[in-house]
Amino acid sequence: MAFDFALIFSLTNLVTNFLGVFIGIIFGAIPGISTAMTVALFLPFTFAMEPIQAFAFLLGLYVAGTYAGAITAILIKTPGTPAAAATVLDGYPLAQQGRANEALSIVTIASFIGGSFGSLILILLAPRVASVALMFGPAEFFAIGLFGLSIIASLSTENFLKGILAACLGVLVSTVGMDPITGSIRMTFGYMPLIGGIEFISVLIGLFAVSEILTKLEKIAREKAIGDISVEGKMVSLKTIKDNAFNIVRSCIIGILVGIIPAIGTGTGAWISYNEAKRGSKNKDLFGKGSTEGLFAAETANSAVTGGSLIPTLTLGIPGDVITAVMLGAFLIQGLTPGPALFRDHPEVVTGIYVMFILSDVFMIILGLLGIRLFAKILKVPLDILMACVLVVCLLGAYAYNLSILNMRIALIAGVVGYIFQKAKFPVPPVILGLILGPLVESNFRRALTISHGSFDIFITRPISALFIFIAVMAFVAPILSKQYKKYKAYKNSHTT
Amino acid sequence: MKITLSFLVAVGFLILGVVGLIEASGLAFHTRAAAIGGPGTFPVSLLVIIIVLASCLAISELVKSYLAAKKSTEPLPPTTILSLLDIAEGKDLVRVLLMVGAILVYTFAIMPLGFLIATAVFILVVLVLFGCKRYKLYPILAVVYPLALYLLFEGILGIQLP
Repeated sequence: MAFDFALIFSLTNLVTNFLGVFIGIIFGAIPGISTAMTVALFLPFTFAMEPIQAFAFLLGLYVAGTYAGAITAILIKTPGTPAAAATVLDGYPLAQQGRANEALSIVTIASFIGGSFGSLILILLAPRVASVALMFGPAEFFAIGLFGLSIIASLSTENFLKGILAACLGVLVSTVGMDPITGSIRMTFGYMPLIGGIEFISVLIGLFAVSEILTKLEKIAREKAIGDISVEGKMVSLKTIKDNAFNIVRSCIIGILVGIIPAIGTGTGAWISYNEAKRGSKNKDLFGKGSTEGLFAAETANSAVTGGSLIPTLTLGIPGDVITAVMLGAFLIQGLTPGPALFRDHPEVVTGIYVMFILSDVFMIILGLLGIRLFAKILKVPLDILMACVLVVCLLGAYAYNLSILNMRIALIAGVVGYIFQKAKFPVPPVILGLILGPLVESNFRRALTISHGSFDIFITRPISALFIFIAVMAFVAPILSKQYKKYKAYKNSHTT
Repeated sequence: MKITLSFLVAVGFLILGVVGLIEASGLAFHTRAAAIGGPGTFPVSLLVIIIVLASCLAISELVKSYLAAKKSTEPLPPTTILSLLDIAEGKDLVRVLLMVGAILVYTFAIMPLGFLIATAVFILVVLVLFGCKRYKLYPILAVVYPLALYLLFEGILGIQLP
């Protein structure tokens, strides 16, 4: 592991990381602003930063944003981010019982433990996965990319067709501009400014931020002002933490496993862990009424997911969840290619990412425990003013990448598409993932075919490639089969009774 | 029978697929080394997949609507843009459309007017569209915020603004 103490622990990096955590907590605590939107919004601020500094900032946002969604979940029964949806069940009842301080301290400590465990597994596993992945050729990378796309498209939506269509749209957008292998111009419809392709950042900002603002525009006028919020009671006792030791370890493992699988994000990790905690608890009746076990389970797992998600992101270039997909944009901005080559060519950046990830958890627990009462006041921030300010930053961010007004317009178009997608219940994350994975899948597909002189055998005769293609096919077929089976079962039941 | 927004989006995908196929039809499928794997292989394959899947989705949405209409004993309300977008009030849609228009105008105005003036006006418009009633803050936000952003981007981040 390359460790340049002075480079990594520079004051600039530490301050930037702290700032990322601070902003992450503030934005994470605002209902309706997801962590993905926060990262997309602040991505343009990293243009001028050095790689480690940029990741210090973004990892701070990621870790703190995932944690801070619990603040609103506990205090006003509204999860700040999807990751905190399970936290509402027990966090809010605890606050109602005058134990808001205990609930908030539980989520802070649980998030710290989950996040730290995630960091540890990341540091232990990532270099090993990367060293194996270094032996992969184009066929394997094509198969892994296809696997990532299929899993994401099939798991991220209730409607399988919509997920696949969204992913196809993302991949199609990635083909606009100059062909990376032959240099031919394609899919530009004769519009010359598109020769350089459609900028990922603009689409990202449009889909995640502008579309959210358009949706908020409908809701804000009807939203009631939040009354005074008080954080009452004592902090969590050491005994409660000790009593939850097994629950915490189990939640960490669940979180990591969920994180490693592409597409299954923090929210799913929290729900699985919550259900497991309930299943194994002696006090099942307390769940949903203010169970500290439920709170520990949900928050430990969703923070452990973050470390797990970074494993496929760093080692294979396949995002573990939608936030790491957004963070892949940072690699592109910095001229880095995530994947095994990153470990070989830029070990100092990888080490910097590990360290900043751990530090983000440390800053988070310090800020979280010291500033609980202060952060509760964030809920009073007027959303109308905030959204107006955020919109300008979004548009500027799109412009700033290569000083192009066209990028602002692309962000607007992507925003409108995202808005309509939300209304039509089309998932947005597969579009982004398609946009990221598209070039990886296409270029490796074509390189593999060049090596094999046009024979498709190369994809099925190589074991790793064949395995991932098989899983990808299963990811497409399984939802259809499962739906048909459910229908058959329902039909059979209705005819036997 | 009620038309759903999903059906319309599927039709949009279909149109995209067909138009895209026309655009991609001139691209080569082959390379010097292989009979397949040229610049056209991926876009054309994707567009064909899009057309097939969008057709399936459109048909399934129509069937769903037809079955729902058949089951329902009461006459279904007519399909409107508001019902499609699940917007309760018409003025919400007007606000969304005005916001989209405002952003578009801003992208055209920022170059000739410059960042500071264009953004000051834009912020005021956005605040009005959001229904912000803190009128005392309007001038502060319109002047101080663009100035602060200008200093941040130009001074600290080194990004040149119009």
